[in-house]
Amino acid sequence: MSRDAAARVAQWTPLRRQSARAAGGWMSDLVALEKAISLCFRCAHKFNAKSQHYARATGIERLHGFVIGECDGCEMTASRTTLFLPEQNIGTTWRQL
Amino acid sequence: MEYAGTLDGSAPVLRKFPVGETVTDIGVPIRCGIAISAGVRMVTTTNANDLLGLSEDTATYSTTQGDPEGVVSIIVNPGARYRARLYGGATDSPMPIAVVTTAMTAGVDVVAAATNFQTPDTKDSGFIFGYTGVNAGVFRKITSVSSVTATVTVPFPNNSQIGDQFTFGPFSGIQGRADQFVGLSTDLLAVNVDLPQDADNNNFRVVEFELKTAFEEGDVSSHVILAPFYHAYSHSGRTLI
Repeated sequence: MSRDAAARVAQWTPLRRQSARAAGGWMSDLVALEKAISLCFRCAHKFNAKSQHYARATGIERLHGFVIGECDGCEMTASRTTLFLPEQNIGTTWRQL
Repeated sequence: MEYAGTLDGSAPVLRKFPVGETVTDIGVPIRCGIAISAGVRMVTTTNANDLLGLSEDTATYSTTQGDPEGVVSIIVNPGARYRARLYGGATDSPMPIAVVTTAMTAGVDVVAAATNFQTPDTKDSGFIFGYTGVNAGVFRKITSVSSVTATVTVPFPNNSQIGDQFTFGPFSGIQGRADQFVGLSTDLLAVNVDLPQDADNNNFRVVEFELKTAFEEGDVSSHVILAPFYHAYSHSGRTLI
């Protein structure tokens, strides 16, 4: 990677909810914006995916079983998170997997 | 396109990035922004330098105070593979099909009078795949072309007869970097097999083909598995273009 590219990448920090904000509100925002949501095992069971018209990214789970990322609920970088996608996106992004 | 695992079997790493332009589709390749960009941006049909990965959601770019910040989720593994459909043109269209007009005699020459293997771009070093007929389902690399003939070196197992059909494209996935980059469709979601072979695209290399015959409507359902050539987190050492 070039030095310029490295500098640009380094400028991006993972986006976080504001510290004073409850996780639930942040999650509601993500749902309203139809974002991909990754949740650690502590948070995943608190997220009622079906009622929010979300579903687990079964395609990726078939490949690896999990995603490495920052939990959108507790902000912990987890070695294993579950990826949830809006139901209408499942049919497009993961249709063949 | 869609994420299709990693070459080394590692688990996918998901990150969120601010966008510098509106990302309207899921599965669009996203690359780093340039110096004046507010965030990441989409690739072009021929350039994916500093690639990050595919968008897993959409994002709206806005510079209006109070608007939600546009953020897109991307699986950023440098070794990720992406599965893309093959379009026959810049937009969603069936792949070109060559219809045999002279029966084969040695299994190496596909003669299709109504097809031009050199225009708009040469298919030399590309692939040819049996779509119907006695060689249906057989893949070969094209090693030379004339206007209406595609020649392979390793013979097809059978001699195709008049009316047999083949699909073809400008890349084979088994050749060095010189001329085997792909061109993307204008929606950036698929690979356009009607674009020229290009040594300068610097975007994706073909890892694997998922070509299908007429039985599976392969002209609109064939895919390729791609690997990024110049990922932002890899060390390919290429100069930014």
